[in-house]
Amino acid sequence: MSPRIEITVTPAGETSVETKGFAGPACRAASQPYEEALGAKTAETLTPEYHAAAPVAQTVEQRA
Amino acid sequence: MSHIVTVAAKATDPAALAAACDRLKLPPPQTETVTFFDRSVQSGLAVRPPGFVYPIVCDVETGDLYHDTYEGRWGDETFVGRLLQAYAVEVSKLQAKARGHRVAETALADGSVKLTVTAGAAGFGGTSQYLSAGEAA
Repeated sequence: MSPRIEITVTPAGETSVETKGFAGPACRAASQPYEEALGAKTAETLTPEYHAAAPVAQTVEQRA
Repeated sequence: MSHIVTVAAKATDPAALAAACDRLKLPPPQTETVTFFDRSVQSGLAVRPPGFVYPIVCDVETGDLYHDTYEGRWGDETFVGRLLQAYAVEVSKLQAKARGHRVAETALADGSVKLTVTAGAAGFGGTSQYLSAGEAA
């Protein structure tokens, strides 16, 4: 799955921001500008992917 | 997924508020000082939805919305939520545009709007070109 951010806004204006396809804390950096632009963070849930190691391909790229 | 954040939307961006009005087919917001029925006074960007006795006043410093719909007699209370929804969608799209990200918008059956943001050429680490609310207008 390619990394993406999903922003869902209900008709009452309630907003959630979900990151998908990221491994590790990079998701936070990616979504932070959107969260800050939208308003005040009220809750955050970390999923198992958040704690996963970075993908092998990315690690190899960084070492090259 | 990696993490989920819930956000209380705050309408602090005049450009996004103007885009939200355009999305809802309303006149652009105007800077006004409004005296409500209870004599409270609010200054900010006033949005005038059809059928509203008093406008919805947005304080862009705090992002708070002020309105008096008298339990729906002086305006459809649900419209305030719709304005906030339109604002959240538009401010997200402005962020995406400034960062070179791509956005796909989907209307959900329950009236929610889902934006799917994917990275552009610079990835998700790109620097924003979005200087400030006023400058982005």
